[in-house]
Amino acid sequence: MEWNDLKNELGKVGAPDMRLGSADSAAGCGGDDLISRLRARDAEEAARLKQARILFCVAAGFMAFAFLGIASIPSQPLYAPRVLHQGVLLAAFVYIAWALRRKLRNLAKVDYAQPVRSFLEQAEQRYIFMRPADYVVTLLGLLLLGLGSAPYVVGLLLRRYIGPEQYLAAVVLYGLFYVLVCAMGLWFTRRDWERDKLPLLADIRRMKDALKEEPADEAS
Amino acid sequence: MDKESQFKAIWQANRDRIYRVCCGYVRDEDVRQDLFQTVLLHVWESLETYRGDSQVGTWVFRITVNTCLGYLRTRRRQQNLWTQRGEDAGRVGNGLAPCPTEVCGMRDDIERLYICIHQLPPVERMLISLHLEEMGTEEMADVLGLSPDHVRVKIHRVKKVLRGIWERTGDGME
Repeated sequence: MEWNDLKNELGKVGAPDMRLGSADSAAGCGGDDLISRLRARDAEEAARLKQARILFCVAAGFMAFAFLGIASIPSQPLYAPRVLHQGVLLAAFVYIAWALRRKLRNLAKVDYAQPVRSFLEQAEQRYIFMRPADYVVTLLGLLLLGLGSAPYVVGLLLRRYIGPEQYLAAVVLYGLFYVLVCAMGLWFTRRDWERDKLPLLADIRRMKDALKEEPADEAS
Repeated sequence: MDKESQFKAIWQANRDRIYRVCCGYVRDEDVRQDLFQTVLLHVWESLETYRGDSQVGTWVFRITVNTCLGYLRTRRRQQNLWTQRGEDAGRVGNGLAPCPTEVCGMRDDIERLYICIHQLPPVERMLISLHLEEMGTEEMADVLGLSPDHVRVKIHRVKKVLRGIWERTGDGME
């Protein structure tokens, strides 16, 4: 095995022919050269971002409109639980939307131009089930959602079936049910993560280990 | 220089080197070309964030290597999905399918070298692919985010392993 001969031979291996395209040809629509496809990709990405922004604004506007609408009905005097649960629910939805946006932005922000070791470290962070910060963000979102929905479920939906003396028991029962649903959600998410992401995380960690510093005893 | 001109300059100077690194990762020609185009796409997308704090060649190799490592993980996920559905995992192309010389247009010893490289773990494949591209230790250290001494040790070990594989496969290959 002669390294230098092989290197020389290897240098003759070239990339397959591919139409790169020029600024002129790429200006037209529907070109199948590389530049045209890359431009199309940029346009797709911009359109996707625009769509997401519009959807986010529509959802936020809808929530604000619903809240203001309920709060401004003159024939139905506002009372504390309704205002409270609407406010907390609104805060919960806005918070969840923010948390999802944060997550998606982090996922989309893969920097392929960084050194391999940093790339693997970042990939590891993306594939970990939940980081401490994710637990805080998720628990806060679930807490807001639970607090916002509790008065609605217990106070508005169940009040025709339960008396005021059972109100506290209903709140506790609802709390337990909510925690159970959240725990099941977490369990299913973890199970899916173990099936899909854990093997990839193991691969990333193996690669990271393979890059670890070792004593230079064999270097010549 | 606008984005397109920059991309063209990078393409002209590095396309063959990028392709050869891709060859070190996958054997199937279709998969290779898919990977090659994915690298070019990432180069295009990363151009806006290129600040010029490293050589263009080094920057391109970082993207190439990171894309190859990421690509292997993606293929694995696709294979898992197919396997779960009871389909033939080979249908998604594991990149280890034979690559006939008439398709790849490579000489037998180069094809044999790639067969040996494919038997190495991903990180070792990456190291040897960069080494075969005549990349200096300092530049490799920059691509990998390691110290030059460490790179030297790694290359020494990988070459030793590769030589062993080359000798073992010799009878069957020639």
